[in-house]
Amino acid sequence: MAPLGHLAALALFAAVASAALAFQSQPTNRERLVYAAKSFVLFVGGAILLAWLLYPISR
Amino acid sequence: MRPAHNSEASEPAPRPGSMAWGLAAFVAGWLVPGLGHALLRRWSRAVVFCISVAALAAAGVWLRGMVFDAQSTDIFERLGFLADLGAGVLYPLAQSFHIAADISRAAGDYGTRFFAAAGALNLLCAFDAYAIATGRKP
Repeated sequence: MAPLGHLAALALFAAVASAALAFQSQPTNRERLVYAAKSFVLFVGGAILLAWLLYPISR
Repeated sequence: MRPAHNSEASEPAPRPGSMAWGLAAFVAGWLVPGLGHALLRRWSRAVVFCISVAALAAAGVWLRGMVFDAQSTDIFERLGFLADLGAGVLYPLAQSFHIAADISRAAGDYGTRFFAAAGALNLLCAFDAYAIATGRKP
């Protein structure tokens, strides 16, 4: 059994990277929260979209 | 009577905004994730960066990813070594566990990327500390 599934690994990376980038680039807590949420959605959504786009050539 | 030579008195201490202070913050932040910002009393950033980098590095080791060493011959492994080295003190710590890497599974491959990402993220944080310390960033 794998210790961490694909989606869980993606979510972990997206959450950590989003939080760190938000604190680096935004001055206030509210702006950080908005930036981190947007970044998280883009990380996860982008990866899932890319996975579906690559799916036809993977077989 | 001849006065005793005091090198600390003759050389001015690094002050906030100076290049020496920036380098000190960079090196501290690189060696220990978050320490550079802690020196600058940016506590929230220090805590978030420390937890973020440590979480990625711990996940990389837990997933049994590969931690590259200096003896790597392949160019990509050398790049991986440089990225891993960015994790500062977490790099020798991860190597001290002597966990056999298992990149035959996707999780092990993720682990390799996670540890490299921890190193790259820590370097980014160290540069952020440098920018704040030298006054280039508020």
